[in-house]
Amino acid sequence: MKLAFWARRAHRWIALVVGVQALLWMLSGLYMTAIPIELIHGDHLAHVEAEPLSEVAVRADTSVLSERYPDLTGFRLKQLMGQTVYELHQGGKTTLVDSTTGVELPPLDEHQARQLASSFYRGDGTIQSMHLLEEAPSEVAKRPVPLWQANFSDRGHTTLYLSATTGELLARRHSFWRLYDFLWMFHIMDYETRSNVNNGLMRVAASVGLLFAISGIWLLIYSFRKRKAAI
Amino acid sequence: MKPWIRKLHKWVGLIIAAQFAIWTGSGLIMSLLDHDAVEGRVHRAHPREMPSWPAGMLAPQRVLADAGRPVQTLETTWLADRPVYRLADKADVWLVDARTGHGVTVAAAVAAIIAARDYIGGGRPETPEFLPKANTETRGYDGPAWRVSFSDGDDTTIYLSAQDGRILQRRNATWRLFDTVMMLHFMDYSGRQNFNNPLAILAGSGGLWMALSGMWLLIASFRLSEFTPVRWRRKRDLGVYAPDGTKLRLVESREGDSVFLALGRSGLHLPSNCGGGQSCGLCAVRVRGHAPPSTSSDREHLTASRLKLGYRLACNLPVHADLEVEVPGDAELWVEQTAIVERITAVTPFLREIRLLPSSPVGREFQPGSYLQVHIPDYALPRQHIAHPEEHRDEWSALDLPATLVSKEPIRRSYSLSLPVEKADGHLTLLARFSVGSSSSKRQFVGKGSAYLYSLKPGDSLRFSGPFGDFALRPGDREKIFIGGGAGMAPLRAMIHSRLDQGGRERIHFWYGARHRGEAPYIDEMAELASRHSNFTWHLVLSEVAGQGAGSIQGLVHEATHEGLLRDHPNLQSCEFYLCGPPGMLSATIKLLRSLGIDDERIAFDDFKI
Repeated sequence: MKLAFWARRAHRWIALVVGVQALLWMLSGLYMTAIPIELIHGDHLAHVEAEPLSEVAVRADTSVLSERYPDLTGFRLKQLMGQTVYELHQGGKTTLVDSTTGVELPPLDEHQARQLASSFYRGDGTIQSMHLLEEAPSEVAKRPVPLWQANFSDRGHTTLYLSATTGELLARRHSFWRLYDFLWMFHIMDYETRSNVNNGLMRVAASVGLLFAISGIWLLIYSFRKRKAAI
Repeated sequence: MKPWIRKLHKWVGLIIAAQFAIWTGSGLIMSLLDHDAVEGRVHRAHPREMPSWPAGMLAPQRVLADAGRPVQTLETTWLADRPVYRLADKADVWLVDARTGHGVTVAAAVAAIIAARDYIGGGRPETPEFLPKANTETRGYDGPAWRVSFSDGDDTTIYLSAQDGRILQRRNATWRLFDTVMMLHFMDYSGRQNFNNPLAILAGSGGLWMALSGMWLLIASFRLSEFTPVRWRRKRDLGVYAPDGTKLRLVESREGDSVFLALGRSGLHLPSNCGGGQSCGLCAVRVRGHAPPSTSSDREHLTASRLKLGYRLACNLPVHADLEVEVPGDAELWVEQTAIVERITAVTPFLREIRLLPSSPVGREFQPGSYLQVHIPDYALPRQHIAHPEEHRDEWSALDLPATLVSKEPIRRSYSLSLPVEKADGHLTLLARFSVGSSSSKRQFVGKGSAYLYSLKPGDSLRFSGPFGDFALRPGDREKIFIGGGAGMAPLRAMIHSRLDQGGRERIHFWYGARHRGEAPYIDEMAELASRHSNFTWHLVLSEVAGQGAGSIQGLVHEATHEGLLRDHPNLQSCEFYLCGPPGMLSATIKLLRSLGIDDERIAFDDFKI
């Protein structure tokens, strides 16, 4: 059968072009579907819990703060390590102020960051190292700096990232997440930013992949015919 | 190579194939759709610069005190042009007017303003629509919401939270397409966003198996030499032999090709259902001389005794050096030959003699009684291409042929030789009937082979395979009785000529039936033969009453033969019978002969390939 002859040749040669990528797609796809996304997000590793705000702790007058911080565009009242604080926004700039005294709080020092990271952490490891980073590593590329990186000694190599300015928990990273991210890079074939699905390589590979699938289906039609007389 | 891997690859493929096509297809679409458009950034206004927080607002501690319930965060924000405090606790969010401290609800008018300010483009907002519960388009948010649709070509829809007025989603036609495709990709057909579903995991596992086993098959099935362009590889001679040892053809092959591929490149397609994938076992050939060790695929499909005889699967048999193989018994099936149409004679209105000059001389296997398969390509022929001589105009104009005769795929049609090759100076002579009938009341049904053959002109080339068939004269000089009808004339005529030319002295009878004289070919030729050879007699039997004439008998050919010859024949058992004709005539004649006690051994017939 001539058609089967060509179908098989096409399938093999296309496989040669796109086979490795098809394997990577399947491998990464299976990982992404099989590991629950909540686990990847690391919800079990860190948890932010805060007491309700108490009006008693809020003494600082916002009109005074507006004078001291010109162009104040807004603020937020929140709890940070048992303390009620004002998070003041001046455009893109953020400053923490004690809500009782109105005194400006300096960025988190290592001790505070360590204490805060430990309070968020729900795993069974301990902090191995703390680093204050002025440039965000690629695994938290879009988060604002400066930030504290707290590395834990658990099996998943958990890392928590805290904002040095606001004490906010910015990201949870661990082995499962890192593998996910690595595989995602292969899945969408964006080896630089790992986020652009519209890249040309991906488009070409997906087109060839589709051809590959069609040639396979075409071949399937012949593959199940057995030993009938061939004319 | 492991046959079980191939098998499992095939079977899992059967289940996974469609989804794999969906994955790649949907992946392609998602990759092609511009991500900014999907995310609704095309119609999103640049965020406005935040104004300074106004003075004279209510103190946050007052708001907290008046809240009357736990508050986890309090923050300033704007609801359109109104400064408000946004209070949040665990799952709940609400707004309080920053000047008055009164609770604020997000009204339709406010939702409309917020949506309009977020939007750029030519569309106009429609009246906001309140959704008490979120829908699939708000994905991940399930409180009350406002929906604001815009009348642009992209069907932009902005969703706002009815709790605090913040924009939840910016949807559009591109996103909706993306989302549908995403659903197919994730295989979550209800919620559309949970890719951790069992179906996807199962399909993914199957897909991974396909990829791994495919990789294995790929590595195992490619020979290194295949990566060298064909013309850089060394030429090897591949001799192709018939099972009886006659050389059929010498195929030029390149080192590293499989025998299957090498033959395929030369247009010789071995029997195969799988296309050379070592899974059907049909392409077995016998290696002449020393066969290479058998592989697991060979052992899967061929018996030990066949392996021992040197049989191997051609698709798994690489050409390393010059090689000689024997191809299966019906090798002629795929040995294609060409011939040039030399002469066409309309013997009767609907019987045409076609004389072909084969491009290479044909051998002795082209015996009288054998037939060729003519390869009919797909065609669409205007009716005018079917020509006929002037004297047959009446018969042809009675036909109601379609304007275009169409055959959608290549087919093969069988035609017997109607003259011995030696008598025709090495030409092949066929007799083609124009097969026409009316299947329903109106439409004329034209045979696909007939239409093609009747469109041929001298000089045209024709492809054919053959010869085939076991209808042949038996050796010896027993009395021979030929009974035929219609185009069954062809092989009988060839046999009779052959026998008479050989100088056979036994009695030879030919009883031939047609409807009327106009349909009977070679009447004069037969009469002339009969007058020249005293041992040959010829009887024309016409079934229609009209048109009877000198020398013809009225009736059905088998009945006429019975009355005129068989009934009174003294020694029927020692005669040989050769029959060829339409199915009805053939079965009636065989029945008659059996009733006369003729041994089946003595009856040779050609079932007319119908």
